[in-house]
Amino acid sequence: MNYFCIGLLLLANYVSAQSVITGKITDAKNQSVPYINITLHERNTTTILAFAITDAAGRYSIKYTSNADSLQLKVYGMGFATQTKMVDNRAQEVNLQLQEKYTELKEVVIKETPITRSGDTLSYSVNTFKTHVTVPLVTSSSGFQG
Amino acid sequence: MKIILFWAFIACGIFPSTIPPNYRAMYRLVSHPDSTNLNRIVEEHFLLFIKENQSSYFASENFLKRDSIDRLVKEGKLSVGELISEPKYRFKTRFSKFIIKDYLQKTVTTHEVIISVFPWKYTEQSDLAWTISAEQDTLSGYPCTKAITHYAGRQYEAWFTADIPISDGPYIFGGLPGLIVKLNDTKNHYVFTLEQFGKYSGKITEMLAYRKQQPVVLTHQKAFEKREEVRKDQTTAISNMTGISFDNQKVKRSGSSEYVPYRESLPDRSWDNNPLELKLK
Repeated sequence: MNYFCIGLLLLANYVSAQSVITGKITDAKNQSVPYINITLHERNTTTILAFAITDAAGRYSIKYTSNADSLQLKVYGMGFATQTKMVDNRAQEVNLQLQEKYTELKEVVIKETPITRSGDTLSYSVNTFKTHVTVPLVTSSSGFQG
Repeated sequence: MKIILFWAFIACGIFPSTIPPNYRAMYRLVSHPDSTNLNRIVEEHFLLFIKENQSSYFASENFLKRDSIDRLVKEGKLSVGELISEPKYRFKTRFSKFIIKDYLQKTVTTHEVIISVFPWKYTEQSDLAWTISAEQDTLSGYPCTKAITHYAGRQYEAWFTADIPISDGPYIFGGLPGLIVKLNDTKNHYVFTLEQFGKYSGKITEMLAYRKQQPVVLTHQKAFEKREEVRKDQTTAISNMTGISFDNQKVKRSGSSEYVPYRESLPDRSWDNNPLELKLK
């Protein structure tokens, strides 16, 4: 019976700590913006507590659990400047207006691993050996002076 | 004159375009098709085309090449005879799937062509339940955060980056606040790694050529059952789907003049025991 009461108290505590932030994201023309990412963080941390992505109507809803006094909302998406906003830790509606900003996404090409091993087989990636660096030939005699 | 000036402004880029550009991501998959022999490794490259931040198209590079060849045959630019006789037109893939994600509808449509005369497709809501962890790392040059989910009998770890704010990734995976840079099941039997990402101005294949037959619509469960039938006993599966019986047919054994029953001529496929989708629900 005691364990049951403790469990009930813990559950009540957990439930009370759970909260939800909802809202709408619009652009400078007050048009709703879909596919915007919203992440929720505790102050000065990069750890994501919870996240949401806006729907066709620009709406989002983030359920989270935290005991911090305040939290940081980070709002970002393609074609818009990233926005951050500190909010109190409570259920509330947070509507934000984003400014359009074209950001060139970082392009990346990862180099192949030149030699890989699979069991007792070594595989060579020919492309990685196609370098354009000219290595000067040095004869053994040039290493001797005088 | 005004019209000429308008088009001149357009050409000069005076009026900025509000349509987001297209992007292309290339993933390398390293997989173990035989769970009893992890020395057997299959590598394959996959392409994810992201169109105007509205939809995406994902397939094996070889599958797309195969589709291009089918398109040439369909348009009469390549004969069926040339296709059969020339090895250069054959492209092997273990993933005969073409996956379309609709960001607005939040749907994933999978087109599957295991047997070309019986292609199928199914559409599902993208409802992966992700748990984001506190783990962070730099992968492929991007700062990434780890997230965990379950799909088709496997637990997956995905590393995504907010630096690319596109909620997508390899295969049917996506729905995170950033592009997936690396995705692996916890046994590392299937590992997708981002190898290239950049803007793309080429033509995007938005639908398969379907040279022989249009796809039938199935449920994911039914498609899974049919795929498993083919994997476990290809001959019986094809017989069931097409009504053609191979039981009384004899073929020449490879490398000899001896005729053997069709089934005996088939190569051993017991190594194919570890599909990406192990079970549904």
